[in-house]
Amino acid sequence: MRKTIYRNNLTCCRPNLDNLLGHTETYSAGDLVRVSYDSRIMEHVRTPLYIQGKCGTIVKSHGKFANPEKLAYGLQSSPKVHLYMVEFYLVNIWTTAYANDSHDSICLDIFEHWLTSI
Amino acid sequence: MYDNLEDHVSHSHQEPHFDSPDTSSFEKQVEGLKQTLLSKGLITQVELEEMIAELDQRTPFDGAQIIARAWTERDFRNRLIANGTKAVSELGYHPPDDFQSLVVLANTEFLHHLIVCTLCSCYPRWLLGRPPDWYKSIAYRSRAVSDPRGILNEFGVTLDPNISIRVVDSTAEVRYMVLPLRPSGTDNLNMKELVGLITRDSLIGVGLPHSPSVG
Repeated sequence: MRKTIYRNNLTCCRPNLDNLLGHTETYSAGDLVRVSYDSRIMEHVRTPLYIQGKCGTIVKSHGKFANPEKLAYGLQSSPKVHLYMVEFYLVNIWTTAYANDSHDSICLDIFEHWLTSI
Repeated sequence: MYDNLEDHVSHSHQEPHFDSPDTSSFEKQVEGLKQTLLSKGLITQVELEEMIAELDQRTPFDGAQIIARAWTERDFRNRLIANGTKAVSELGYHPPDDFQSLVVLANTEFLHHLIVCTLCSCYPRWLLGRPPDWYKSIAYRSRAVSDPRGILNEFGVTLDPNISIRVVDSTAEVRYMVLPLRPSGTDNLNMKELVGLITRDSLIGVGLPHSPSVG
């Protein structure tokens, strides 16, 4: 796990050209990520409020899809964005309602621009 | 072909009663939108009826066929888990939009999947038909992500504490379907009999397939 964090920090500090252009996926299975917190709740975002600011693990990449945050406003030709299945322990989300020893989890599909490495 | 369809769409006796959204207000909105689209000529009545007919063509029977095949053919099962969209296209099932993809989640002895859409009602309609009303209710959508074991209990499913639950909150791009565990004592059943054990609820994860004695 320590190795994963180190590698992601490097990626974060020195992104290569392919990453900058969105050609390759920034994250791969097992990477630890944090979901951004964004107060634009009145806009068309697919990232539910309950998962914003939470830390999870990349399960898989789904490939690239049109960005719904642009599509909703008629911007059909906006660049496609990588979409990832990300898994979170429920105990980390509902901190008081869940027993610490629970391995129950939740997965959500989250677009790359919502994620940062941790 | 659809002779045992009723078994698939009939509701479990233990199905809990969730609140329904405020249908009267939604109905008015839908009717208003429909009339506007028709009056502006953006859509015709015939097109609308065709779309509804296409939606109604699909039922959980379609999903059950796919799962029964996965239970009986290991190679197909592997392909289904690796790339759901591609695997079901072998059987003639294609998503309504080019962009939409399918991920099939295999339950194991230690992991149970439960599907919800907290934002609206995302559902693999092209494999299961329209979602049940409770799937769209505020109660199911909010509680499935915060108290999945409680929800399962209300559907009559009590999981061993050693089995972890993995809730999947799905959105537009990727639709999810559960691949339930094949019940024991089904080794000698044929495809049609296996399909008869697979309920709609077991494909969402709020139920389990019937046992042969019950089914």
